[in-house]
Amino acid sequence: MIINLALGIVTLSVLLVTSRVLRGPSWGDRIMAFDFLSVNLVLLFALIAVKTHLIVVLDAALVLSLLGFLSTVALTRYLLLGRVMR
Amino acid sequence: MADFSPLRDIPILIGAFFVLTAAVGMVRFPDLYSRLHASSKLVTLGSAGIFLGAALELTDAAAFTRLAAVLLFQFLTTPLTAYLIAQAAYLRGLPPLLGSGGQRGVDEWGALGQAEQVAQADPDAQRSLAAEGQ
Repeated sequence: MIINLALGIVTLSVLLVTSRVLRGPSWGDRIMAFDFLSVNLVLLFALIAVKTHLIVVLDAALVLSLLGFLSTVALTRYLLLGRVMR
Repeated sequence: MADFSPLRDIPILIGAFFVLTAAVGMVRFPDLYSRLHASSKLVTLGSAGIFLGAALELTDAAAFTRLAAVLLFQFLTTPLTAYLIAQAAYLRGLPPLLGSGGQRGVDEWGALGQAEQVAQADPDAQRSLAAEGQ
């Protein structure tokens, strides 16, 4: 089934980028790889929704994309200014 | 290969291929800025393919609206996060690998270590610094 192949490919990319999270030379690399992992998790949820025909998984994907964007913004703000909020 | 429906499977395979290409680029590119280039553009294209295939498979109004919302949100936020990460890393003083002279670590804009100046140019950060000084 093609959906399983796509799930395997996206999981392989998750494993590759986890190596970048672990050995990223700077904190920018780690934040970038973390953002990539959150986007990839959203894609995995969309593929699981296609595989199982469950619409509820897409709600989880929507919430996860919002949380990933907010965490990335907070991390870059902490990296640049030294704090998240004033 | 038992149930191959091309309307669903070809966009999903194209999207998964581009996501894998983004991962390979993020592992093998030499610089943070080139890695950001690979990450943001290819992930946007790959998520467009996967969400298009999912919307063609799940022919339902609820699924279609959710997929359209997630896809629109990805299109809005992926370049924004790439820009934020590049700005933060550059203003914290990470030099680009390829500078003006083709040498390592040459900074052609001369903006190394200006995070404090940016923090002072930002009015919110300025008020925060004044509050910390008191």
